Amino acid sequence: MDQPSQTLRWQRWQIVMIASIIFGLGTVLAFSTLAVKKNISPAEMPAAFAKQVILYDWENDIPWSVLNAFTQEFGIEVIYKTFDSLTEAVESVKSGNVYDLMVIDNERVPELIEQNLLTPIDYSNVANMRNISANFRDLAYDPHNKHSVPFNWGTTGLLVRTDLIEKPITSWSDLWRDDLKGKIGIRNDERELLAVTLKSLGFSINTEDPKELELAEQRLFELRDCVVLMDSYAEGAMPLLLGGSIAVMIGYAEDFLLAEDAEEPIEYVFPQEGSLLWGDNFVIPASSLNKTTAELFLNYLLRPQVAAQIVNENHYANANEAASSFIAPEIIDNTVIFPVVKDLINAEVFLPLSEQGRALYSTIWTKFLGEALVLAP
Amino acid sequence: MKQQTAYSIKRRLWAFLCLILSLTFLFISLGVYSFTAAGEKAVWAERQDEAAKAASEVIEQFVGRVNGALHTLGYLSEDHVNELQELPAYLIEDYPFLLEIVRLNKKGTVSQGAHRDNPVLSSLFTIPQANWFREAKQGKAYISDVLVSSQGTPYMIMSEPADNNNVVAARFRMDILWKIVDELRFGEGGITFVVDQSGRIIAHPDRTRVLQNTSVALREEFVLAKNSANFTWSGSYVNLQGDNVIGTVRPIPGTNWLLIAELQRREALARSHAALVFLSVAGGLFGLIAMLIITRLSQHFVFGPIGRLQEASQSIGQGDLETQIPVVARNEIGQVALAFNDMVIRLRDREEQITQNASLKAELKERERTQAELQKAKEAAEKANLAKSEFLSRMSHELRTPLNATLGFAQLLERDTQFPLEARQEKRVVQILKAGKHLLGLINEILDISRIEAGKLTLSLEPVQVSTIVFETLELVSPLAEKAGITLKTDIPSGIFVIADNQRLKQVLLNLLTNAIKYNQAGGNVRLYCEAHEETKLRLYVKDTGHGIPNEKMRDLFQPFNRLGAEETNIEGVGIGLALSKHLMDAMNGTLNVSSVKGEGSTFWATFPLTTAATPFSNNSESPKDKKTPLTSGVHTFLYIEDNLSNLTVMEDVFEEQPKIQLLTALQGRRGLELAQQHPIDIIILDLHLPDLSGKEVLQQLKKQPCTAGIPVVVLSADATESQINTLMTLGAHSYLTKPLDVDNLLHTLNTLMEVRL
Repeated sequence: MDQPSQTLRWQRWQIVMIASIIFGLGTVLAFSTLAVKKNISPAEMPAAFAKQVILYDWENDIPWSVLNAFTQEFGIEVIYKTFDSLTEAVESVKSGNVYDLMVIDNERVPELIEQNLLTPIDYSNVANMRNISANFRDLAYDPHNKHSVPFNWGTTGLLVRTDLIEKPITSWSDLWRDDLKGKIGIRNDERELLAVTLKSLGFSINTEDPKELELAEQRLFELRDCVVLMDSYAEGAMPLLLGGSIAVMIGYAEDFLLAEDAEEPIEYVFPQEGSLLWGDNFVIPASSLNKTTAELFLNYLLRPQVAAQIVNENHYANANEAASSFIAPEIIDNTVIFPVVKDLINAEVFLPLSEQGRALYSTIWTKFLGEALVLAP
Repeated sequence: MKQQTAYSIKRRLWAFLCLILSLTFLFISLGVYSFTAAGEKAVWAERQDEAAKAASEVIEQFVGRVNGALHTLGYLSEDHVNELQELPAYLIEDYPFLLEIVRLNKKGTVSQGAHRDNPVLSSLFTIPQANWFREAKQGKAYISDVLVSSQGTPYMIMSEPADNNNVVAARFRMDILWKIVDELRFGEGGITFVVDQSGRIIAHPDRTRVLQNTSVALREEFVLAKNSANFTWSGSYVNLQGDNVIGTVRPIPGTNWLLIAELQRREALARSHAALVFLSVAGGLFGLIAMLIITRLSQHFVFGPIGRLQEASQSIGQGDLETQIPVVARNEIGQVALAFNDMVIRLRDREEQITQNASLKAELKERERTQAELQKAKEAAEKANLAKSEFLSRMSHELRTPLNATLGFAQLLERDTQFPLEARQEKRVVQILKAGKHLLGLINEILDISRIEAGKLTLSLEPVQVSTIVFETLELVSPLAEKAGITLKTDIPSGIFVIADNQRLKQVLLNLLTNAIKYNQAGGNVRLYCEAHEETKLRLYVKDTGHGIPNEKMRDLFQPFNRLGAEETNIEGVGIGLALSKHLMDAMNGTLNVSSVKGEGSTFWATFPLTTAATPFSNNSESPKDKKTPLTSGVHTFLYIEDNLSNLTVMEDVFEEQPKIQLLTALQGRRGLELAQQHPIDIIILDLHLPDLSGKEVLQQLKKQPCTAGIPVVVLSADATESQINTLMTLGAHSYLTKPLDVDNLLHTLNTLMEVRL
């Protein structure tokens, strides 16, 4: 007969019982440690990029060398779609065409924002925003740069055939001189000549003050028989100046570059009342299917070297301050392209007008075009 | 062997205890944890809130100081501006966080300004379009986003309207603000940071967050705070760094910024966690120890004793009655053990008793076995006896048929009136008849015994007058007595009736008397007398004066074929008379007894039930004594259907002496039926054993036909079985006579029939 085995010997079930208690304890401890374990933040997750990005811009605005480099680096193909006019660009966006990154001028930005056609830019993906000059940050057309990043900019001044005029031209007011009658080339732009008129009167180019506009209208009409309406493209307008049929024309700094190498003595004048400043911006249309990819692309374009390469190839001034040291010296030192601050005193940026303002401007301009048109030969 | 019980109470109890204990500790641990965690959280939330409040005050103060600088410059009237051109420079000196401070006229032209590093605000050509100028010009205070210069220097611009539509603006460093948030740390991993109203981070201990324009705009804590009434919110979430934190969001007065203070949840709940871990470990250990103690205690006090009880009961169950359970304690189990021990002692006593009885038992068993054997032997004997009876029955039956012829012809010879026998011949015929009858008697007796033994004997019990029977019997034995020189004395009064079978009683009596004569001494006597016994019975005594029967032989007296040594004498006999008599008496509800005194003789007495009433049938006992009874009536035609030629010859001889009887014979049943229809038959004598039809069928045919139905049929057969007789009588036979043929009896029957018919 078995001697009482129950006394002091471990039995299997007892071991099982103790093991289960230890297991339970372990579970509680594991639970308590798990509770404080780090979770992976969604912010640290790599973003998924699209295979391609659609750029919508003026033709040749961004060189292919830059775009190909992007494709090479990120494996993202760039589809470059172009527009011929800002009106076309806006209409295209409005009609719902899909673009990931678009270039548009200052004036059109508020309109697009208002119509919810733009996506706010997440600057945590666009750290290169810091490269943008303070001059172009947080301007009136887009508070806090919520929807746009400044890109190219430039001045509108006067291109002058110094050999064809008797007295030097230094201001917008000189256009009203009698000796220049019929020798002034202008473009068909609703705001440009009116802005010049306003500037000559010492008013803001963005004014909506009816009194100021009335004065400006009167002064504008004084130019009725004195101006020659040119092609909007520099390539079309420049022959007039080079040919000598006009002695002075309202033009962009880059237009001057076309004439720089010409034999005729042509000068670019920053009028004393202040130049007109234009600016282009990168925006992300709401139609973009991959905003993150668009932001990646934008951030790439804002790299100092990339921005500098664009400048080096296209010769437009860039809002990218950090790019300066990478821009070819002949370009950065060209004061027509990159004016010295002295020349920009009183310079003014075109800002969007209100509805009424726009109507007012439009009426004046139509009236002006209807009454006096001296077309280029 | 110890049994492993699958559902032992012990295991269940301990499993239950373990479960309860584990659950208890689990609940206690979790409960304590949740309580301390809640408390800790509350404390932290309060501390955090206070700290955040303090921090926001600090930031407010900072912003206030920037504002102060702007106010100082802005309060100047336009006239004083030119006079106090040095003021901005002083301000830059006084306020280390100021990078630049400017005053602008309404057109955006800088009228006054100073800067620490390089001019930014004063060098801009887009001032009129810049929001900081435009907002202030429209009379609003302006704070920019965090702006990062291309050199990576973060700064902010703050502006406000100044006297005479002028604008004052300051560009200031972020380091101070960052320093402030750097110092606002909760615990080791906690952070505090500032976001603007759009969710962009303005100040953060991790500066890259600011430099990379990180925004919390879409994060839960920001959205919830933005949506709450006063931009205040607190709760737990996973922060930007992916840490589990407890955060507080509150607005910074004087700005549209929000302060977010975060505390690592792990730190916040460190003590709760510690408590949980401690409780779990301590609880687990305590549980283990408690379980061990409970296990040991219950083993010692409960399950051990129960186990011993179990083992003891098992060993007792296996027959070991020497087992005693050690009684350790006087508790309940001890009491059970005591009771158990007591029970074992009683069991042991009981066992001893049983052992003593065992021999008796064995004997009993042996007896039972013997009995069974006896029973078997008895059955075998009975079977053998039955076989013997069967054999005897057949033998006697087979013997009777030739004897029938012998006796029949002897009788014919004796009765031949035409050619009467000479005296010598007659004497010899008489010897033949005598011997034949003796043989017949013996055969009949053997048959009787076998019938009795087979239980097939049928008796017709009826009141019988004793004196008549005695008279008839004495008549039969008197010649024998005379011859032996024995005197017969009877003393039987008439009018005494007993219940018995007439014939069988006579047979018994004849037997007793014959024995009494045969085994008597020369010149002895036989006395026949009777006396009532117990009022309802009659004893009929036959007392002889023979040699008597020795006591030792008394037992074998009634055994068949046991002649008690008489076989060595010249006294005739086969030794079945007494056996048959005894059987017959038993069958007639009587008894046959004997008492004997050696040398003086024996007394046999038969005991019968007494009765008082005589019956009409008592006349039946009258036997035809007239040997030569003639059939007196006129000419009659008898039909005898019989296949046995010797029997036919006997019958023809019988009727040859009766001139008025015409006997027709048929050897086959069908022939007999034909004859019965063709001739006017008075009586048909029918044998049962026929070659074509059985006698039974013939009888049925006869009874079916109207012309023959009325003819009385006398069956004459060697088959004397009761059932056969009954069957045929039921079918309509008038009488049933058995072979060997008793001519007198036949004639008597026929005569009676004829009388009835006439």
